[in-house]
Amino acid sequence: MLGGYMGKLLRVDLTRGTVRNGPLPDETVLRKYLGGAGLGARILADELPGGVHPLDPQSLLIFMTGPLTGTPVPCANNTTAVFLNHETECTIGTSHSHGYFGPFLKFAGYDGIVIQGAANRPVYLWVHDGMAEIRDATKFWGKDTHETEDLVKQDVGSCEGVSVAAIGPAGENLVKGASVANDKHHLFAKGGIGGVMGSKKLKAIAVGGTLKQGVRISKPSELVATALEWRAALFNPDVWISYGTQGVGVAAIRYSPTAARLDWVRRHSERLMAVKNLSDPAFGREWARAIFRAAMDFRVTPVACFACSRGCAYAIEITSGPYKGYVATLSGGGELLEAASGMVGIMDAGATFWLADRYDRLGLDSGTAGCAISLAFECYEKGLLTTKDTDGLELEWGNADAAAQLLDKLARREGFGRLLAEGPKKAAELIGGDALKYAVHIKGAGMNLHDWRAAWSVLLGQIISGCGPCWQAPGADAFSPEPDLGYTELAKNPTSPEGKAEAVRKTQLKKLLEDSLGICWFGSWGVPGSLAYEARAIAATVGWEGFDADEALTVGERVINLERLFNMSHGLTLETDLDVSQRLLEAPTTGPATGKEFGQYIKGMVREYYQQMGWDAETGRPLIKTLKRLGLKAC
Amino acid sequence: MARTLIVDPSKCDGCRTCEAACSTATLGWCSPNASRIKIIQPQAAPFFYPLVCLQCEIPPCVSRCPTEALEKDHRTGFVKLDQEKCPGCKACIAACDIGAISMVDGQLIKCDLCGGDPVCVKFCLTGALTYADPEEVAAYKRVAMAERAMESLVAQNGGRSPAEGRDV
Repeated sequence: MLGGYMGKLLRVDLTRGTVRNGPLPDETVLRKYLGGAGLGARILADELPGGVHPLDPQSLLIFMTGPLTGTPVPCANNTTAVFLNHETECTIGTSHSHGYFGPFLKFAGYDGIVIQGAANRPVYLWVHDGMAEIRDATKFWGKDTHETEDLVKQDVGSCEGVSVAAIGPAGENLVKGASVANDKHHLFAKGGIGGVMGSKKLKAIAVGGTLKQGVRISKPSELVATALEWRAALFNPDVWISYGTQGVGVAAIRYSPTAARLDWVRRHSERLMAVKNLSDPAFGREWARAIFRAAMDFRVTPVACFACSRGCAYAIEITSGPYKGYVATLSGGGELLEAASGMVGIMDAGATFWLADRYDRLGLDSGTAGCAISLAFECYEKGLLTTKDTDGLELEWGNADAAAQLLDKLARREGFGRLLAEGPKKAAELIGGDALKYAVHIKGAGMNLHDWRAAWSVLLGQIISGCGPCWQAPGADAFSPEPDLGYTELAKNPTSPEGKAEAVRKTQLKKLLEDSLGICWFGSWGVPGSLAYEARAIAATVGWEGFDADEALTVGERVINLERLFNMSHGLTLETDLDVSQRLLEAPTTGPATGKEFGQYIKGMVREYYQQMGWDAETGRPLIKTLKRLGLKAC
Repeated sequence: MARTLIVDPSKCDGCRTCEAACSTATLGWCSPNASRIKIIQPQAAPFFYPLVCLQCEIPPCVSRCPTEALEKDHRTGFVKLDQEKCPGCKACIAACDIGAISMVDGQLIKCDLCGGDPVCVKFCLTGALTYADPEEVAAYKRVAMAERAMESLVAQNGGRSPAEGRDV
């Protein structure tokens, strides 16, 4: 019997209203795809019928843990959702979340949940102790994600542990960029997963119960030893400080970095702040300093995920201003703060955290909705829109009240929000005039919101990512290098094309491996030796002799190729990969990337990436010999 | 004095890595339910209490045990449970005031400090769990307290100890 896996998938048919326990694929498949993004992609590719739209009842929604989820390795808490991407409509969608959902799903006896069909009234799933029920959720429909979590926990009654993942009004209204929130601080954000779940009238999934089922570990003392070495590597101050201090530096409060290190992080981050719809990058430094200086007076409580070794999530109580007393429950990172606040020029710290929490409560990804809203603000500032178009809202940079009202309208598809609910590209097309010149989008969706025009390998990674714009290919220009891949420091030339395709390809392999293990990326990003620790952890947990770093990286490569085949069979072409908005391709006129025009080199870099991946340089189609090496069949 | 587990609940953030590590190391299964240390969150507020055997000097579980399966080793300080002698009568569960003994798959389990090298401490991120000689910890705190008092009194006395130059 294999360690690491529970050996069961929950199969849910919402049209028929049935649940049943199903097996995992056999061991040869598990060894090739592991779990998470890999195993999810394999199942989606095998089972999704042709010609299905993301919001059709036949569309599948898969939540998959990995063999390392719910073990003692660092950050062993990931669940990856895999589905047909609602934002791009021609790629796979993968969405990660953390907290307790994944571990509790395993302690309830399951490796994953595969959902098909659509209910005819709002329902939620209660998964516990080796079984599941479909329950009525009519009384929760319309409620925000955090309220829903509290109400569902009350509804299932007191138990050892429960984790709830829920959609908010945005998912219910099938908004592009809707997300699924869990454990108050975390989100399955990317790909429009909220709309897919909303189209199935699935309001929430609760997992847990007595937590009596355990994850079997094949070689316990070997795993404990590996986990301890891995943790020691994590606490190298040069490693964690590269990104552990994102957001309000909660990790810094806990681990006392040197002043010099903190200063480096601050200067580095300020270069990359996404502000004012990316129209004025130099404003990024002013914005970051204003917000984070004021936030030092707020009351911050670090919050841990299961087996967390980072502590990036936090609760923050606003201690002054109109939002005084409000406690925002957020995950670490700057993106949601930049999206909610910087992108519309808001300078008030209280409004920043309140708005970021609003995104979570409405169930909206900050990337896509954030770019739609900031587009509207820039169009208003430039006279393309007037208060007649915006339901009377004055969309001037810094108007937090207007941003809040607009966000609500977007989530509920009301008034002017109806336009923005289609995502930044479609909204720009509908607004007309020069709007498409201002819009920030990749394949029609929002990206992870920092200003990547100052870090070209990250921007290229967002562009070629197989699941729509996201962190799938982190590159080597920002926050943390990858010593295991030969990058011992950040690239010295972040705004020139040399070496970017290679950095993207190498980091994408490692990232897709890690996305298939069931762990949070913050336990591995930039950690020296992490590749070896990951391979050892799999070998010791599952019991696969000889599973080494090479085999592990090959899993990553295999999953990238599988996603590519899937995407091409859904209409992805080179033209789709080049569907990047003008604002991202043109040279910024202020800030650290002034005069550097990414658009001049994009085609060359994408083609170079295709070639290095072993794909046709013109079409990006994986060559037969590449597929053969990876044990994949061409679709 | 022997080293023992020292718990500081104010530092616990509820990550449950100790539960994961304990159950893995002692049973070969990762299961918070099967751990000898349990993180208790009494209400829906961010307070987490690591509940674990305190290796009592006068253990009620030892006095209640009918088969002498439980024994306090006064040299190491551990209260050990000998599974060979334990019939599973559960009298110890009733005897323990804090609920430190539990039952997993028909077997009673309790913390024995991993024989002197507790694995939970190695995994604890925040320092909520430490393994030390309580006498040494107390001695260290006494010196720290005296130093704080000295700083304050010297500052008030213009940079000199108030004991200096006293006419006795």
